[in-house]
Amino acid sequence: MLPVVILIVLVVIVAVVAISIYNRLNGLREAVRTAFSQIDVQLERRYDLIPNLVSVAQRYLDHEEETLTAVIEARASATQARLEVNGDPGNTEAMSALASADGSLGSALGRLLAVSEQYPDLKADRTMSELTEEIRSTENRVSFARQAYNDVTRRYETARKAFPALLLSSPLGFGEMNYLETTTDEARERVLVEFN
Amino acid sequence: MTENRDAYSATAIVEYERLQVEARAEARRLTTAFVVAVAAVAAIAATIVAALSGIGVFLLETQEAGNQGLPPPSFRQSIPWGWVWVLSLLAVAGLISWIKHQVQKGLVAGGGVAIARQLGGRPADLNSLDPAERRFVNVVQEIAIAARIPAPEVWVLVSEHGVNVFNAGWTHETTVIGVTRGALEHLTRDELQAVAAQSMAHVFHGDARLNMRLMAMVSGIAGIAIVGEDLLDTARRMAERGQRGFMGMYVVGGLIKGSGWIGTYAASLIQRSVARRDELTADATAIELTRDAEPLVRAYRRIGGSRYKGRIRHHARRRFNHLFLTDTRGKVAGSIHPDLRERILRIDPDWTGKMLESQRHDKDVAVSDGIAVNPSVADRFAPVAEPGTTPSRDQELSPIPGLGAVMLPLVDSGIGSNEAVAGGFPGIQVDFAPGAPIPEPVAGMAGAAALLGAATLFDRRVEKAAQVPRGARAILLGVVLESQGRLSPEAARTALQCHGEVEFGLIQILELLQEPLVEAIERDRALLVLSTGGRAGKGEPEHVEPFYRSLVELVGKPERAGGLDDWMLRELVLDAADPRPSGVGNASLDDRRKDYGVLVTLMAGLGGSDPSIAASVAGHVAGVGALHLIGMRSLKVRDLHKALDLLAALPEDDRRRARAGLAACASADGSISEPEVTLLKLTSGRFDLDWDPSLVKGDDLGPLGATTGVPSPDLSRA
Repeated sequence: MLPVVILIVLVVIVAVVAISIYNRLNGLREAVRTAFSQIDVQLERRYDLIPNLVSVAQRYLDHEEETLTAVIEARASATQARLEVNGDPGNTEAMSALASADGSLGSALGRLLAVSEQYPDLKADRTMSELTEEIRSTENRVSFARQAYNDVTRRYETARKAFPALLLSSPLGFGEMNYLETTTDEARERVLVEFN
Repeated sequence: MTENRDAYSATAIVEYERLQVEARAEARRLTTAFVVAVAAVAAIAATIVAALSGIGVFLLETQEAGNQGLPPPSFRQSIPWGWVWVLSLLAVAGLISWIKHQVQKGLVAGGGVAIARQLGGRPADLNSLDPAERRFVNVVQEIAIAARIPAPEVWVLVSEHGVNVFNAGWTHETTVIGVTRGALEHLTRDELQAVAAQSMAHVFHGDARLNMRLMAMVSGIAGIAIVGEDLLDTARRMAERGQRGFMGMYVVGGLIKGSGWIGTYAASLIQRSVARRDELTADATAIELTRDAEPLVRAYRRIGGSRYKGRIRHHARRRFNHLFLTDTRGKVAGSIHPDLRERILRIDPDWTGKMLESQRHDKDVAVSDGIAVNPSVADRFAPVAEPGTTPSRDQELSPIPGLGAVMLPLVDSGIGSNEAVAGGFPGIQVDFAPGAPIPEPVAGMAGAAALLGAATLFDRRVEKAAQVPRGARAILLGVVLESQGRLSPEAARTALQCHGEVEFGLIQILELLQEPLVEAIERDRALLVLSTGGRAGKGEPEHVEPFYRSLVELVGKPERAGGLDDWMLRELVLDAADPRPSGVGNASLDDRRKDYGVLVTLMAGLGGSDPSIAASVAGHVAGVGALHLIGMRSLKVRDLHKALDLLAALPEDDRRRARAGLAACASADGSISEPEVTLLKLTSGRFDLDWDPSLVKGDDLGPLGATTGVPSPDLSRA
């Protein structure tokens, strides 16, 4: 009689633990997905603002074809990469492609804004200064969204790899989530632009 | 440009997480201590109550037994002490809870927005032309993304020059974050972000809720002290009436009050410690969110180095001090807030102790300090800028020579947003639709608000005064006189007394106005005062006259060779302030043709019309036939004065015809410009005729439409 009881109790305990692990991991995974969609939102906003910036800049920057082209092209590839990821942060390859394309866009933008510093007419243009603030804010938002995503991904991964959760995560269907790190090259190239 | 948050080392994040965890643990310990204190107080009070009721019942029973001849009951056994004590505990706990609940209900009502309004704020204008405001809104939204919480509503305390930030509200959805004008002006973008993050960290951790519960609980315990106080009062009355047992009552009351008082003191100490601990935690969280400690340190150093620090002028700051970043008295350390220096050292142990001198970072702010011209007003009158150039500040603020845009919000109804006006005066409901006449008290305030703008004087008395025209005028006078320096103190004091608000003595107002106001042109201010209805002579007490005379003289003296526009505006206001008699002569318009011709010349010149056409139109409408016009170049100011004087002396009918002729001349070329309208208004005023808007029917009436030009000051407000 007693062994049966003990067995039942053990099974119950394991079940309870498994359920709580599942719930916790599930909650965290949802948070990761939400955080990723936040990045998505900000990326879209940023991609939308860039054509405005380019068209205003074009009026004044006659001889900076290269810089403008670089921005336009980078934007195109970043938009494409975003579509490839298609809302799934678990897709490792697509995520790293996105990270890389986004990094390039950031650098190209930085170069454009640095160049525009040398054109006082452009700088004084009111639309331009408003746009500059908006772009700057958008870059920050993308950056913060990425930071928030990495934070919550870290929590998810930590929970997933902890004992005893790590025994159950595979069977329960909790796969690895990728961090959105930038590639080393773009990351180290910090373009510091001082405005006013 | 993309700041690299991924490169921030993992160890640093862990370090801050550890600090936070430690701080939260300590806060939890403190809260436990708090709960224990409360329980102890409740238990003590309950014991006392139980003892008393037990003894009381026992005495009654003994008496009963004595009456019935039975032996006295045993002390221990006759009373179920256990139950009595439990009941007493329940009663005491019930009292504390009830009070706590009531206080909580009171505090919670209204949410963040109500608090922000009480502090005199206004919602940030998302489409604001003010880059500093937009920057702050952006910064808040960025932090909200990093913290993964919904972005709080942003409010601005436009009249506060201290550098401070507050957060109010109980739930993530109803939270409000407020920033002072001073913060917007003195902090750089990343510093603003750091302090916004600190404020939002409180939201993030739910500090407001906890603090509110603690405060409510403190009130609950205070309830016990009050009960004790009541008992002491009863004892006093018993003593007076000579009732027996008053000594006992004193003792009991004293004990209960004592325990309540000690409990309250201990609990509020603990509550303060919790609040301080929460502030330090929020600092750490802010750094974690922004991944950069430097801006927060810089912000604190700037606050420490600034003249006003975190000072909030509004009287409501006493109630909401704990919601702010730094102490609202403008001190470095407060009862709730940890010492600024300690906070800096915690973040940056290598700090040398030097504060930063604050500079303004708002070179691109559209609003001038001292005179808050609603940007949309300035925009309507700003000259059209060539693409690629930035309109200069002078152009923006004084597009109309002489009076500038300051007077316009006063008189022209419908201009500007309600918030801009009400923003200067909290608690005042400003509710008027564009185009509707401004109700009287508001017009007075609107003028004061427009002029004062960023100047802060939110003393309760002043705020109250601003709600009536006379009070608003008194404030305005104070503002004018403070920068004038030319008028004698006696005249100034007299002027203020004449408005009946004796308590708003000049000295008091000057004391409140500690911010030096921008040096506006003195004449402009004098004009403003005159236009708010102050006038020399009629109706005002005798001793006021000299004061206004001197103002009028000041206005009348041209400081520089102004143009005709200038002259016209001056005449307009002078006439309003000091109306000269009209219609005393026997002559007719025909007799005064030459002088009429002078006026028509001026009108034609202003409108750029062909003089001969002007002459024939005007002459025809006025019924005087052909007019002889002198050239514009021969026009002299004294001729104009003479013309106006003589024509003003004509009978009313003639005056009307003269004016009609001028109006016809103005619209003869198919459009009416501002100067033409001004001249018409001047003429109306001088001729003592009511203004008739139909005079200015025309196709192109300038940016204002029918109300183009400077309206004549309204004298009906005595």
